[in-house]
Amino acid sequence: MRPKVVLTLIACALAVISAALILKPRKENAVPPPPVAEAPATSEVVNASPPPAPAPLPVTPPPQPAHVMTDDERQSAIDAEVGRLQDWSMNNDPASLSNILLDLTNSEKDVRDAAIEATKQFDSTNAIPTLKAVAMNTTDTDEQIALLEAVKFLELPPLTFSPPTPEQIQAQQQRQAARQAQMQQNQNQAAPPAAPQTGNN
Amino acid sequence: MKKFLLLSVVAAVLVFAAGNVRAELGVVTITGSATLQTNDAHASPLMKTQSVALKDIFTIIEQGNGDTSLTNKHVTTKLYYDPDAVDNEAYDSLEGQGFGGTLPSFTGVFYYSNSVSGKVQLDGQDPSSGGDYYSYIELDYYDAYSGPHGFWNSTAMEAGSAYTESDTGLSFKSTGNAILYVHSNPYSYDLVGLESNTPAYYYANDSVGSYNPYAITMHGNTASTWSYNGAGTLKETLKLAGSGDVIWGGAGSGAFSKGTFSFSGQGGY
Repeated sequence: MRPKVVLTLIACALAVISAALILKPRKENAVPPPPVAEAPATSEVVNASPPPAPAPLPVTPPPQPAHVMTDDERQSAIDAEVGRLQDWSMNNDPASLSNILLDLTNSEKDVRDAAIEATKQFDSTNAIPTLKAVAMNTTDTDEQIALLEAVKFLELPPLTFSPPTPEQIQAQQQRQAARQAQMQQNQNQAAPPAAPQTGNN
Repeated sequence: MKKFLLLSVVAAVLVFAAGNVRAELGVVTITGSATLQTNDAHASPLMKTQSVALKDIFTIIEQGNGDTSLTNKHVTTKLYYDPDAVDNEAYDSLEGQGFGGTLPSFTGVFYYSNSVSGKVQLDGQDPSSGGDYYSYIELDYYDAYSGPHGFWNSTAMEAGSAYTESDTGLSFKSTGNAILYVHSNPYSYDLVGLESNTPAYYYANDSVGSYNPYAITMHGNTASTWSYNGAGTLKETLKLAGSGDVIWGGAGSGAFSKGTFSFSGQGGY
């Protein structure tokens, strides 16, 4: 091999070696990684408080399926409310009337009918405004008529007791006496005849 | 197919049970208007219309049996009716009074109940008179589905009635006519048509039959329903709307109008 060729090869090798040395990353010029935060030693903790724990997320309960009443359950509920209306109708306190008036717009027709009857039995003119208002807002013609009939009923004065006259009392006593006499006569006719008495000679 | 067979069986049972229907006691409400004449020595006669509610029915009964708890405002009293209860006391007593052989089977019993007197039947046999029958309230009607009730008599009042049955065979409706009679004289019960050969309605005045200081009678159209739930429970309702007479002590007699009788009961069958 000619000396020029050898020198050329040596020069290329030296160039490659030099490039490798230049491009090799140096540790003293590498960007150090960011320091990792280290928990301080226990002995170094004096007054520092731990960071607050994150607030727990609210736990939403899974949606419960809506309870669908059976026919019997629905009827039992209706019957129970109708029974309460009957009890309230025999009272005379404002709370009972308030409960009755609320049921005038109950979703169940049987309850609404019972409420209309209860307003009549409770017999207070305080129910009239509510009855009229409910009548204006109902689309059931029969129910509207019943509500307005209840208004007319409540607008009447209640029947007041009228004691019997002396003549009526006397007439009643005469009839009772006649009845007693008739019963006594019937008993006498039904009684067996007395046994004949026998004498000793 | 199974559902059809089941319904057929249920319907067959109900048809059999129809002749033996049975309902528990149910609450009764009564309302109406009483128009009485007022006579003022210095003015022309006037009419006065007043409302009648359940408290006035209790007044009538109290005037008869003397139970003051009926009109005590601090005591809650309710009126009850069992439309299908057989009234054996009525039959036994009236049979002994000479109506034997002509009496039907009486059904329908009334009660009142409160915390003072308990449950009181409104008819029975009076021990003080040797067992004579007495009654303060009667409801007489014939129903195409449930038959005769009270003192219903085919010769003395309407017998026309019609009923319908639902496709399931579990509910029935009917209509007819009825007479309601509430009176303070317990011996003034309305044996409609049995005391004479002339058919007649009963009138609440002292010119017919026994004397009543206080009474209301109402006659009109009925609407009844029966609902079976297929599990042994029967619900029964009855409504009567009508008019009639009223006698009110010293206020005299007058007209009873816009009368309503409402019953709702439930029980086993």
